[in-house]
Parts: sequence; C-alpha cells; structure tokens
Amino acid sequence: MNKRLVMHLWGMIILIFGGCMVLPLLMTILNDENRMAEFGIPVLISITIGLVLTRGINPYKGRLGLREGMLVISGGFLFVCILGMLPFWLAGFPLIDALFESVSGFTTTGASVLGDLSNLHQALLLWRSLTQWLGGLGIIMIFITMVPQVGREALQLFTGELHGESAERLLPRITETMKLLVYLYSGFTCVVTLLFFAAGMNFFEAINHAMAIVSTGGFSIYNDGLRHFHNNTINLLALIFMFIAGGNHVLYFKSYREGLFRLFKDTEFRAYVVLIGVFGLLITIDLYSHDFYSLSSSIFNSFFQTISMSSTSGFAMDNYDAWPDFSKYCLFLLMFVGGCSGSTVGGIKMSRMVILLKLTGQELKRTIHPRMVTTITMAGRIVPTQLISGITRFFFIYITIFFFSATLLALVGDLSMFSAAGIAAACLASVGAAFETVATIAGYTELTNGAKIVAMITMLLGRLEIVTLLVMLHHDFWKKE
Amino acid sequence: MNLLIVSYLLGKLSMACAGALLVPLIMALYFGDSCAQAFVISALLAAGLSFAFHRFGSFEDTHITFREGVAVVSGAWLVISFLGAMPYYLSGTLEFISAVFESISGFTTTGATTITSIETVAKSMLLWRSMTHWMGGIGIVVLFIAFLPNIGSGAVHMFNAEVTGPTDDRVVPRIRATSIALCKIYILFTALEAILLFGAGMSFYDCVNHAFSTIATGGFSTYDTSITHFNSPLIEGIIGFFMVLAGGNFALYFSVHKKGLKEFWRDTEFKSYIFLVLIATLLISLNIFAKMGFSGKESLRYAFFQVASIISTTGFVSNDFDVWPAFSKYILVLLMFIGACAGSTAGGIKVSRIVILCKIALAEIRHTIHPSMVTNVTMNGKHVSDTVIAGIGRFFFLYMMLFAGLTLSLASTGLSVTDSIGAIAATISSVGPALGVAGATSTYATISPFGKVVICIAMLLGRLELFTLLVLIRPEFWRSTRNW
Repeated sequence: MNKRLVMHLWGMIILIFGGCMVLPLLMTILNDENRMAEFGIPVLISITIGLVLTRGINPYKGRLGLREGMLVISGGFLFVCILGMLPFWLAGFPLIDALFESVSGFTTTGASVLGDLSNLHQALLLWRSLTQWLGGLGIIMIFITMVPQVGREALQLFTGELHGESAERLLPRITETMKLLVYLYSGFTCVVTLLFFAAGMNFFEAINHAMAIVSTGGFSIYNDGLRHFHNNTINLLALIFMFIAGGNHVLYFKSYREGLFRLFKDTEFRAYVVLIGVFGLLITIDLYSHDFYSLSSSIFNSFFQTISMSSTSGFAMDNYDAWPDFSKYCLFLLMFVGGCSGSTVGGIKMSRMVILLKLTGQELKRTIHPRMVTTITMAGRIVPTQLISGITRFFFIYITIFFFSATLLALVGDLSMFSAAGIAAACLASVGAAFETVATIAGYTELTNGAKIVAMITMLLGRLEIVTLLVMLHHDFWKKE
Repeated sequence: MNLLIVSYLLGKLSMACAGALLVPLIMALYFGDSCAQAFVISALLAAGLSFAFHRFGSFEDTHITFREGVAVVSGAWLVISFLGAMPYYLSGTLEFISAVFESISGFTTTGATTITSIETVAKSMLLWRSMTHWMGGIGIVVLFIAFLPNIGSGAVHMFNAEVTGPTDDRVVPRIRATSIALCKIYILFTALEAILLFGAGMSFYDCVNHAFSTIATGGFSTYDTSITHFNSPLIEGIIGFFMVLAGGNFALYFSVHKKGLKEFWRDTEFKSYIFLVLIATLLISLNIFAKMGFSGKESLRYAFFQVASIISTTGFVSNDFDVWPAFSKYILVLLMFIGACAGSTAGGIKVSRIVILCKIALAEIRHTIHPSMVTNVTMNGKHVSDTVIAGIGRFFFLYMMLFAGLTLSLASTGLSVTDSIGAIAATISSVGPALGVAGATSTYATISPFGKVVICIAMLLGRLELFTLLVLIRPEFWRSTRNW
C-alpha cells in the first residue's frame, strides 16, 4: 500500500473541498457578519489539513493501485462528510444531526434532520445544496480533472466511483472524459438554474433547486419543497430534469456527438424509459380509479413521483404516503431499481437489472435445453461472464444489506416494519424520502440517534456501491503484498 | 413430448388420490359425519379422472426426458389441487376458490387456511386437511429426488452426489431405492412424533393430525388457536424439535443412519441451519424479553418455537407473533425467505443456497482486492462448480423478482403493503401464517378471490422451486422439436 500517495490525494480532495466552502463563506460575509465563523473555521481547517497533506508528502513515489484507489475514494468521502458537517455543528445542531445532514448531502440522498428550514440562514441552505451538488459530481471526478498527472490509473478510481457497468471510456484519456463530464454537469446545472429563474424563482431559489435536481439529491430550501412555488412550469421543469439527471451522462455526451438516435439505441436508456412509462401508468390508473385526483393531475402526480423515485431524487408533489397501497408499493420497488449507470443515481441501476432479467430468460431457456450455449448482449455487445457473475453477487449483497439495515432500524429506531423498510431502501438507493414516518425528507428528524447512525452507514454503503466500502473490512485489504 | 406416459402417470396419481380419499371417508362413516357424501363423490371423481387418463395414456414408451418430467410434476400439482379441493367444496365447508386455496395450501405444505372456525368443521374433513400436508410432503421429497436434479438448479445435485447423479435410465433403480428409504424415514418420524405427542397428553386424533402436519412442515392444526390451544411447554418442545428435524435434509438422515452421527457435523448446510435456529432464537428471545414483558423462560420458549416453526416453514403458532416488536418480526420474515435445508419438505430459498451466496459474496470482496485471484467456493469440503453458482445467483434474483411481482399483484387488491409482503413471503416459502390481516391469529379468508389466486400461484411456484413451473410458459417447451 502506497500510503504517501493516498495521503497526498486525500489532501488534494480536502483542499478542493475547502475551496468550495469559500462560496458560502463569501455569502456570510455579504449577508451576516456574525455567522462568518461557521464557515470560516471549517475553511481554515480544511485548507490547513489539505496543505499539510499535499505539500508535506511527496506524491511521485509509486503508482496508484486498486487498493489505493479504493482507499482514496472511501477515505476521501468520509473526510469530506466529516468536514462538511462542521458548518451545521457550529450553527448549533447536535453532532449526530450535523453529520447526518452532511452524509445525506454528499451521498445525494437528501434526507434531512434539521427540522424547520425557515430558521436557517441562507449560507447554510446554500451549503446544504452544495454538498449534494459536490457529492453528485463525485469529488473524485473534480479531483481527477485537476490532477492530470495521475493519468491511466485514474480509470480505477473512475470504476470505483461510478461503478455502473457501462463505465466505458469515451475518449482515449480518462482525464479528458472526466473534464467533459464536469463541463456537462456544470452546464446542465446552469441551464436548469436559468430555466427555473425564467419560470419565476428568484436566483437563490433557482440555483439551490437546480443543484438538488441535477445531483438527484432532493434537498430544498423550503419545508414544503417544490410545492412552495405553486407553479406548474417549475414542476414540469423539475420533472423533466429529474428524468434527464437519471440517465447516463456519458450517453448524453455520445448522443451530442453522434445524434439523438444514439440515445434510443442504448438498451439501458430504453429500459429506463419503459420502466418509468409502465410504473407511471400503473400508478396513474391506481390513483384515478381510487378518485384521488382528476385525470390530468393523476397523470402528473404519478409520473412526477415515479421519476422522482426512479432517479432517486426524493422530491414530492403531494403527500404520496396517503396514496393507495398499490401505488406506494410501486414507488417502493422503484427505489430498488434506480436510474441508469453513469449518472448520480443510487440503487441497483437499470443496466444491472436488464442484465439480470436477460439472465433469467436465458436460465429458463437453458432449463429446457440444458446443453445450450447462450450469451447475453447489451447494446449489441456480449457481456462477459465475469461481469455477469459480479452482477448477480452485487444483487445478493444489495438485498442482504437492505435486510440487515431494515432489521437494525426496526430494533434501534423502534419503527414499524414498513417504515424501517422504507428508510433502508431510501437510504441505500440515496432517495431520501420514504414512507410513514419519513414520507417527507424532514421526517428523519423524528428518528432516534441510533437509527440515524444506521441510516448514515446505509447511505454511505449505497453511495459507494457497497463493495468499495466492504472490502475495507476484509483483512486482506490491509495486508502487505 | 410423450403425452401418453404423462397421461398414464397422471392416471396413477389420480388413482392414488382416490385411494387416499377413502381414509377420511371411512372415518366419516364411522363417526356418522355429514361429510361422507362429499368424500364418496370426490373419490368417484378421482377414480373417473384416473380412468380417463388411463384410457388415453399408455406405458409402452417409458422414456421420460426432462420435458415429460416437468409436465408430470406440473400436471400432478394441478390435478391433485383440484381433486383435493373437492371434499371442501362438495361438503359446503368452503366456496370453490377457497377450497382450491385450502387444497393447494395443504399439498404445498404451506398451511395457510381460509377456514375461519376450524373447530366447527367435521373431524374427517380436518383429517383430510392434515393428510394433504402429509401426502404433499412425501410427494415432494420423492419428486425432489426423482426430478429436480434434471433441472440443473436443483440443490440436491450439489450436495448429495450419492443420492442424485445424472438422470439417465440406469440410475432410476437407485433413485427409487433412495426415495423408498426417504419415505421410510418420513414415516418413522411421523410415527415417533405421534407417539411422543400422545404421551404428552394429546388425544389420539390430535396427535395424528399434528404429526402429519409437523413432519410435512405444513402447519394445519385442528384448532383455531393452533398450538396455543394446548398451552403446554412439553408439547411445544416436542413439536419444536420435530419441526427442526423436518427442516433438515432427509438424505442427510439417511447417510447418518448408514455412517453414524458424525455426518451431521460434516454437513455445512445442517450446521448453518442449526446455527441459524440458535442465533435467531437468542435474538428474538432477548427482544421479546425486553419489549413484551415475558419472563426469561417464556421468552425462550416462545422464541424457540416460533423460530423453529418459521425456519422449517411449518407455520404453527404458540404465541401471537404479530404483536411482537418489528425487530423480531423482521427476523421471522428473514427466516421465511431463508427456509430450511435442501432435500427437506420445507420451502424458501434454502439454507444451502444462502450459504453459497454468502460464500460467493465474500469471494467477490476478495476478488476485488486481488483482481486476478481465482476464487473457489466449497461446500462440505467439495468444490462447487461455476454452473451451480451461476444457477443459484439467478435463482435468488428470480425469487426476489417473483416475490416483488406477486406482492404487487396482491397489493392491487387493496391490501396494505405490509400485509401483501407478509402474505407473499409466507406463502412463496410455504410457511402459512403471515403478518397483519393474514397474521398469526387470523386467516386468509378475507382476501379477495383474485388475491387468493395470486397466493395459490405463489404457493405452487415456491413449492416447485420456480423453474419447473416457469418453463411451462416458454414457447420452446411446447414446440414439438426434439430435445437437444
């Protein structure tokens, strides 16, 4: 293990992160000088740690191996969550709540324990949204574009961070790809901000919500979220951009170069559209037949919520917890699937689900013809066996972690079975909003401290695609070669 | 497909069913029950069906390939579910869908009931109910050994090379011999339990019914309140012990009989199974001790009985676990999914599959650390082939998908999410009592007819381990091209 390199890279991450915190610091300077310390101290701490680690350690020794890559990702994520908690803590929130909010932000979950948001000052609200945006982008991705010398080995970081199965390289050099993705992501955020602004939000509202939507996070600066605006244009924009944010960003770049038809040649994207279409329709029928809404608002509410769950954002248009159980169950299942790989969504991801479904069809075929040789293709290319077995294992691990998390939540949180299952699923897939107690993202305030800790661990596991974090627990990981 | 032999075998099965119906008929006549007529008509119907099948079928070409195997198994379950439902329906005990539900629940050894007041039902009818369990159980053991190895995802294939082997004609005598040995064990266990229960103070009638129900890991009782009715630690202990026993691999008992007790400790699955029972009992007893106000002894007693009942997928109830804390209920639901050992009459995913899945999950983690490492999964010291591993991964995924799909269908009938999840989890793994509306103290009677059909499908899918039934919906299965 090349400890020096790992520490150097951690330093880089922390430094960049500290730089980002300057933004809310500036805001406090402009708005309310008394609040300066809340951001000033964390900025000082992160920049000091960052400088010590980057300047004090010579980074050019050795290469970045797989284990180092994983350690950089997981460790970096944890450090950032801990440093990101400081502004909330200094603002007077209990330690666990502050950490929870930070973890929830950086994992783009969007579960909130701060309670009444109208009591918070603007800089803190901005920081909240910014954590999601940064988390969504993957601090690692920013970092790679800034550190071109890492070069080829960065691919491992990339596959660790964006673990979805289509992590293919767009351009020969991974750093180029990363830069492009960052531009795409930032440009996307700007577009959403401008559109929100044009639709009637003020600039501060627009930028906060844009960050939450593009990162599929789910934080809002109002207690009632997007409902606050009572503006159909805004709602429709939110729906469209949540949908886009749930798609593969690499694919968007490809379609930009090769034409829009490229989008629909992609198996995963088609499956994503079909899934949303089918579940949206099912929920529409259920809502309409139970006389919940008029036909048009049934359609709107159902698709809004379907897309919100599927893209793991967690925004809500209405109190869906009061919907019929069938609709709630559909939403619950959508949380497991999530959106496409190569985006900021959590969950099992469409590409894996498609491969698993194809695998099942194949198994039935092979049951009839036991000696048949079969292959599975995605977008016309054969999926290697190694990858397939990895996916089935991932599925098992995912479900097992879900079960453990739900059971523990029921124990330490004194929750009903469905509440616990909802929280576990929502945290693992970085959705945030679930059912019953936590039907709104602010419902997490009512959880016990034990439950908050379990939820936090679940969020981290889900965000880092479980295995990246679990390998650290294996003694082989720390062994010297 | 060789329909003649399929028809012939189904005829045999219907005849066996007609024969079995004579037992409750004799009892009904002896006690002067009102149900005698229903049994007579049912038996005649079965005999008639058997005659029709025999007319059509023939035993000249005895070549049974995989397709015939699947056709016989699936056909057998359909025929027997229908015939088994007749007594309930004809006697007016239940309406048609509920009668079929009760029959499928019986034969699949689920033990989910739609009878709201069991004590008012004629005793001969209750005997038939327990008998369906017992026959379903023994049938499954035999079918399991005889047909499942064909299917590739069969658990037996992996663990007992002695019992299974490839399914060419030459091994048929051995499979039959094994099946007979297994039946002997099955009968021995039933008799032993009946005697012990009789000794513990049950009436003769009750102890026969409960022994049938326990060894088949069914769960039908002769009382509304199930085992709570007796309120006897001794009876709970005996039944608990036999439930755990019935959840073990019968092939393992056979080899223990031949090679000695040390075989138990060589078997990874059995060890894991016992470990699961112990750890779940411990966790639940601590949880209910803390939250429910039971004494230490009571907590242990209730926890052990319920864990044994759920993991063996029996479904007896000695305390209303529906009011237990969510943590305990979660563990019980987890046990429902896991189920007991392969080669038993229990349902669920099976401990062996879970053990292998856990091992490959661990292998995945090691593989991530050392990308070029060749990982090797072993069971009982033997290497598990990649094909088997891949099959298990797919089985797990399919199980979860079917679970989600069936739950969704059930939720569309207006049942709450928790109730739907509980009902499907309990029936796909053939446990029986679930949570909420179909919980420990209530029945499935209130569920809508469509919901009952969904649950029937869940029971059959779970019992036949998914693939047997699912291949039927593939067009290739029905195409008359020859087998590859």
